[in-house]
Amino acid sequence: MNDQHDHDFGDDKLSAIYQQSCVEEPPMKLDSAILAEGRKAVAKKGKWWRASWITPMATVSVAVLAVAIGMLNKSMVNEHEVIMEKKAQDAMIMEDSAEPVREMKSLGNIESMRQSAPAPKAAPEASGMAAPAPAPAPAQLMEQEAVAPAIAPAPAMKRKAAPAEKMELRSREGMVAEPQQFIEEMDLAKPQAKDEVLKPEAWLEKIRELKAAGKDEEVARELELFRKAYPDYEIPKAYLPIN
Amino acid sequence: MQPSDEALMLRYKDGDAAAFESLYRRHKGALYRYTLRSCDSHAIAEELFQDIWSGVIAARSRYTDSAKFTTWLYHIAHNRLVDHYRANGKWDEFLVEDEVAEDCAVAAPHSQPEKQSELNRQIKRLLECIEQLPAPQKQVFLLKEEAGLALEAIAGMVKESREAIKSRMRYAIGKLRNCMGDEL
Repeated sequence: MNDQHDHDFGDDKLSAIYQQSCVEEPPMKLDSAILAEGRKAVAKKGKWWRASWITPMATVSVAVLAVAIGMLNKSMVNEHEVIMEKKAQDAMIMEDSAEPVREMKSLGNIESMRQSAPAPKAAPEASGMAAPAPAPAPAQLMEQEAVAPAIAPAPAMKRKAAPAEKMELRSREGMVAEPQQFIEEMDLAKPQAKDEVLKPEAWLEKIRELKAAGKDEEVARELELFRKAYPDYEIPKAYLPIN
Repeated sequence: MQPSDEALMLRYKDGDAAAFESLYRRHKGALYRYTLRSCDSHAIAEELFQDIWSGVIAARSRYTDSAKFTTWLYHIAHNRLVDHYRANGKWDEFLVEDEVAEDCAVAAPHSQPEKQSELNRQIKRLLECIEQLPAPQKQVFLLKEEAGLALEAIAGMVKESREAIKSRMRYAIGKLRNCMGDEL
């Protein structure tokens, strides 16, 4: 703001003369140097890493990346848990499948395996073969009934597939102790499976018939099976082989 | 309509190199003459002149249009000049106030009369007289004549009171008139 006193700030005549003297200009080389410096200064500012948008974009990018990594890590953990759970379930299934095998092994009862398999057709034949077969002893019936429910929960244990299954179970640790024994037992049990499950007396009658027919090898085999099935049963001498 | 100095400087602040070139071409002459008349030689004046513009470039991020561009530019220029005087041991000269206008005896560099137009003689004489002024008075005179700054702006720049600056100008004018003598 100029007031009255500022009007005489300076001298008009001297100013007029001085303004006529304003002819000096900087040399051109000086102009070039200064203008180049001015351009260079803002050229630096134009670098992409100095852009005003770079910092927010970098921040957002880092945040998105962090979230993505977190989500990926979580999905990997879940997937691992699912796999472990499935393995545990498979192990439990295999363990459940092995239970009937262990039970049959502990019982040493081949007839229990025959009872677990559906063999309705064999019943009449067995009945025919063992026509004079006496009624099963109450103790034996109780034993069979006790075994059957134990086996029932393992429907996968099919009789025909038993050897193969035994082989599969054998591949698992600690599931079957003497697989060969079972295989042999299953092989021996095959013929009998076609017939009904024989009671001791019926079985012995069969053995006697084989003996009378001169089939000593079969007699020996049947006796061996009988002894395994009924270890406590006293076999009469008449049924034993001569030698 | 051409953009103002303040608008150009703000554009340069945002990265417009062309705006800086426009500003430079508008003010280079006046600023060059200000430094030339304030120094002892052309070489020093050119060095200071380039240094002043380097200061403008470096300080562009701090510029705001709250002050006139010319005030801001000559503030930088004045500070550079003060630094120069201090660095060269001439700071006392910058502070000396020779307020005795009547006793100013300015000797013309050429004693032989020259056949020149009256204006040319006056110009030449005036420049010689300005050169003889004490630094504080010279600064006030040049800031008014070259930069076109008002009394208050000059006072703020040199950190003196308004009355001190007014007095300084009065003494400068008195000495110049005395020096011009018959040429005026």
